[in-house]
Amino acid sequence: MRLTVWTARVLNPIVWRRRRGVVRKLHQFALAERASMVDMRQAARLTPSPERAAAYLRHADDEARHAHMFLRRAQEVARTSSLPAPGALRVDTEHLFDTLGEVAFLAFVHYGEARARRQFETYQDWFLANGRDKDHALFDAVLADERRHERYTYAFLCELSGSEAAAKAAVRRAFWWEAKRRWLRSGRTVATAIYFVCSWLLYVVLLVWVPVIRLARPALRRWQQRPNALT
Amino acid sequence: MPAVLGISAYYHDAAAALLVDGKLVAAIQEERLSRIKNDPSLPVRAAEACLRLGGLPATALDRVVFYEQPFAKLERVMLQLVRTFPRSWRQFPRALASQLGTKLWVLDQLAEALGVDRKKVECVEHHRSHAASAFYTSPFTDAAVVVVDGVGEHASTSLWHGHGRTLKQLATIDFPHSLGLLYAAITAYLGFAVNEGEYKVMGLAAWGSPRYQDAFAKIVRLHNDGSYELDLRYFAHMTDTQLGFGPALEQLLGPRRPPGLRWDLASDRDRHYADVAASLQVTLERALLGLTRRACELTGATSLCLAGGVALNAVANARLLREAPLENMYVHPAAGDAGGAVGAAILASLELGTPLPGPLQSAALGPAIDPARAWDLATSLGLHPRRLDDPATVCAHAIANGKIVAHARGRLEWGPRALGQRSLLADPSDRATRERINRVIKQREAFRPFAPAIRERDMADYFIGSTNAMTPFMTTVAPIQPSMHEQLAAVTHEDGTARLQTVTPAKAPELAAVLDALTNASRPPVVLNTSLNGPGEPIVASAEDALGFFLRHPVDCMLLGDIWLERAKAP
Ligand SMILES: [Fe+2]
Ligand SMILES: [Fe+2]
Ligand SMILES: [Fe+2]
Repeated sequence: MRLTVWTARVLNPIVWRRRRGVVRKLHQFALAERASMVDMRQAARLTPSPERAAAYLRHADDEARHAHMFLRRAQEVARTSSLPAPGALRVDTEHLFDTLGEVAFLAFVHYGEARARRQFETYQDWFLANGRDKDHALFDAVLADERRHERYTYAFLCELSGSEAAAKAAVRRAFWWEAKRRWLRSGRTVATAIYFVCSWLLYVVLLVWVPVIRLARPALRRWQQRPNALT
Repeated sequence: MPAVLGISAYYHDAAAALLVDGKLVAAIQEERLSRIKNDPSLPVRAAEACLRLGGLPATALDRVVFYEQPFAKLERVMLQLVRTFPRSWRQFPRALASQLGTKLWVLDQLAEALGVDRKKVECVEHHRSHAASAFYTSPFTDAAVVVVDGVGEHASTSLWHGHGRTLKQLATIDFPHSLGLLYAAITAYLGFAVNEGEYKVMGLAAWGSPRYQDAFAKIVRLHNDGSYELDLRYFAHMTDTQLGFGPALEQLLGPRRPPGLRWDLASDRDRHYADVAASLQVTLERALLGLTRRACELTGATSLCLAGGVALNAVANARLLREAPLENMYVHPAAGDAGGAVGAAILASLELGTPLPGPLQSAALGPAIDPARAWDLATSLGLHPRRLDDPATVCAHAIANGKIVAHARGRLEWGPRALGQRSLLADPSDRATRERINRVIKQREAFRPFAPAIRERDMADYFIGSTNAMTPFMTTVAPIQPSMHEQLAAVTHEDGTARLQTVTPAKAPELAAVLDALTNASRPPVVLNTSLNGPGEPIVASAEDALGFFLRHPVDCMLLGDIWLERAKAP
């Protein structure tokens, strides 16, 4: 069993049991789908081929719909459980087409779609077993699209990279690239924690300057005249 | 021919602008190309697009100018963190990281990203950039200039005198006193996103009555010399950049509105919040009147240029022109931080001895749609595109028949307003169409108004008042003639006004042609005009963005250059 599937199976009862967790998870999915929409629209703009651009735009459209569906469901769960409404969908993207080029981008998208599909399938099993019909129906609708995305990206990948063997190699590279990225990301998390501790130590040192600054450079009120410069 | 690139970045709405021999040849916000709304990152895409439009390589640039001074900004941030010790403990690590980690090195980053000599990269003061963007693109040769925003390096408000080529600073009000941050705090209090929800607050104000003016008089004190002062007990923008207001504000105005709740202006709860918005609006207008009167006194000028994010408050702008001792007034279409890129570029260009840029002729300063790509892509999507000989007439007929038309023609607009180049156009009389756009396409609050675009020469027939330097750029409002309320039912706001755009062939040729075609079809020369974008997305820029929009949103037709798309009727 793959690691993603295994982790999802172990975590399902924890993630989906509590309403607050459900809202958070669905909102995270909505954000991820929205980011994916932006990535696919960027890809549509950057690819030289109108056919692939059209496919990317259709893909982006699916992801926009998924984002909307996940957000709706998150809002609904929040409302019925009197939890705070999840925030608007802010997008963050790494501009992967720009940095990777089309072949590596496609490999990455294909790999991501396959992983998401496997993860979503484990959710499906859990929802079915626990009588969560609404969530089951939501993921059902999304999964149909994700399977299509997985297939068409692979077909393009084979076409662009020249052979199925080359496409498989590109997907393997995407796997390692993603693994490296996760490793670096976890390193960054540790570094950020260390940075926060260090900067708070520095902040305490600032205490020495507080009376000096408050005396010498107080916040100014009302009109200020600066030595004016003519341009 | 000196070429100068102006850049604004790292706060909100990054942008690039290119001046060649003093002429503004291109100006683009990064969000339009990166597709991330209000993208603050280094605008490399926008810079490259400007250079492409100018037909120049980066090596041909004589100067690259950043719109603020990073070291002065760092000084202010550090001073503020120390002054508010120990309350600033939470903000300290983040502020330090963002200043020292990226913002301080922006000039080096620009040199590296664009491949230009570091010696050619320099910076100018934030408020000077704003002031220059307004004055040097205005139709005036002598004007008072008022800049009002959140904060630049130190100043949050500044008064200037613009005369010919000179721009002289007269006085400033410094952070933490700031009208921009007052507006941001109330925006957050009302449950909207700061730097995005400000328009909603302005729209909401028309539905309320300003019965909390006394409370607002405590929050911000307005002095007789035109200056103002925030009572900082109500605010938290010195220690909390997320929320901006403190518990004292909730004690004064009642609990904040939780974000994400559906608005119901028939309910007592939401009427209260509309009243808060109305009180803020009146307070802001009075503060701006004080600043403007002071600026007029100091300069003796009768024309005003207003810049900074607060200048996007079209309702306040109309009142300033009405009540301050002014003959005319101008607001640059990108009055917020994006506009700083234009100002910075102009200042450096003038230093190089170029002619003045002259009044802004048109806000269509971005890239155009690539017609071949649009055709190929629409065909690949199976949308059955048609080429039109007379797109304006076909578009006008569709509008007259109650259709919603996505109109993407000409060069992309500069600034937050869609001015006909990337717009949704519809019949201005039909309330049902308005509901459809609000609910199905834009998914926005029902209290937000839509704006009309009208042929300049017809303005007096439909509106009270005449055109001024702001009306071509949608930065003011005007009352609609009471006899025209029905004809303009979809664009008349709750208070009987509309944020109009007056259209001439010189400023927006494609939209002017549609309005002409409407009159040829015996219809009023007015359309409902709203920006062509999905909820939470930047305005459409390219053919790909436009077609992505067409797939996602149920507009009836789309005009992409001279390519026409019509949505197939459901079987
Ligand atoms: Fe998806
Ligand atoms: Fe997908
Ligand atoms: Fe600003």
